[in-house]
Amino acid sequence: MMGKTEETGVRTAISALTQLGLAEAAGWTPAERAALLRLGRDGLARGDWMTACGLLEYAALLDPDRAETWELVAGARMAARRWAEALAAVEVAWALGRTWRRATLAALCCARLGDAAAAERWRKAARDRAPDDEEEYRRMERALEDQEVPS
Amino acid sequence: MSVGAVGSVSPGLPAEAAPAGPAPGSPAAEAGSRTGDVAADHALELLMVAEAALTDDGVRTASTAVRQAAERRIEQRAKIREILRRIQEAQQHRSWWQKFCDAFGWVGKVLGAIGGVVAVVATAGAALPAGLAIGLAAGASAAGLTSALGRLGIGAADRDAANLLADRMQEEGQLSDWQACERDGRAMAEALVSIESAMRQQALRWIGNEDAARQLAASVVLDR
Repeated sequence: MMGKTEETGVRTAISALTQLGLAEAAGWTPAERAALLRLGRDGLARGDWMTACGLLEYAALLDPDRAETWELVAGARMAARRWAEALAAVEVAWALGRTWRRATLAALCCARLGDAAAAERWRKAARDRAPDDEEEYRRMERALEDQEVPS
Repeated sequence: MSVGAVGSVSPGLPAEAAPAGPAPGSPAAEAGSRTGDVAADHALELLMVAEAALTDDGVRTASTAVRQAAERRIEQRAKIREILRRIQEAQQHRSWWQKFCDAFGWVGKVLGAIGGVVAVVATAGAALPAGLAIGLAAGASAAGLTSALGRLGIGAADRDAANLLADRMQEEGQLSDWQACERDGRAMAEALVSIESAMRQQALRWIGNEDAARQLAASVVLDR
């Protein structure tokens, strides 16, 4: 699980990247960036992981301080079984804003990477921020329970 | 951070392609699995990806927008080159810092690490986070280096603020607090450097492959 120090580092780096204004320099308007993100999500929905990874990573570069995009990058990398890279993307999203969904994604990645202790810490972080919505809560628990080692 | 499809040498091909079956040691995926892996299936469910599938109209609209962006390439080259130049300049500042700091033991290393971040942040025009400013000022004062800051690529305003803060902290006896935090400071600096450096390298690769990224976007559109 990320320490406070690492979170600070990620936020500093994201802030520096954001200030570079890559999207503006590369000539992408906000509407075009949103379209890029939509096509990336569509790639994920269609099961085209490689295209989804490429489009979403590019979208993350253009809007590096948008945590939701990093979440999607993580999802695409997980679908492509790139667990360590997926965890890195989730950690960026987490540093930008702590949510149960990000903690759950991180727990899934850590479990796949064989880091049981980190997975457990992320599980706790997710449950500490459990959603009020019943359906979302069920989704979270399903995901967490599948990875849990029975005691 | 790692290089993904956009930053790869071959556009559209990620560094590590998805294997055909479930990963070794992973729980067997249920029938109807989207990815062949339970954890990845859960991830997509959490992200509600299935609900995001676009209608044909939505795809057309998004494709048109992305194509328009991909077509406006040439006029943006100069701006991208300018960004590359700024990043490379920041890297030069960093190596200068590093050489200097090698001669001054651990305090120097902490300063060097923070200086690397400052160089990038300052070049990028971002505000210096308060925590870093304090660390910079206190570290510099402890090492007796405040007057040297100006020669090391830090802007005058930052330098003045650092000097002022360091002087004030010294007067108030806060330097002992800083020294007590030595270990934390060093860990922070190391973490900052590794993360910041990795992200900057990633950004450089991405920018360097800007054409490849646009081509990827355009090819998705053309495939429709």
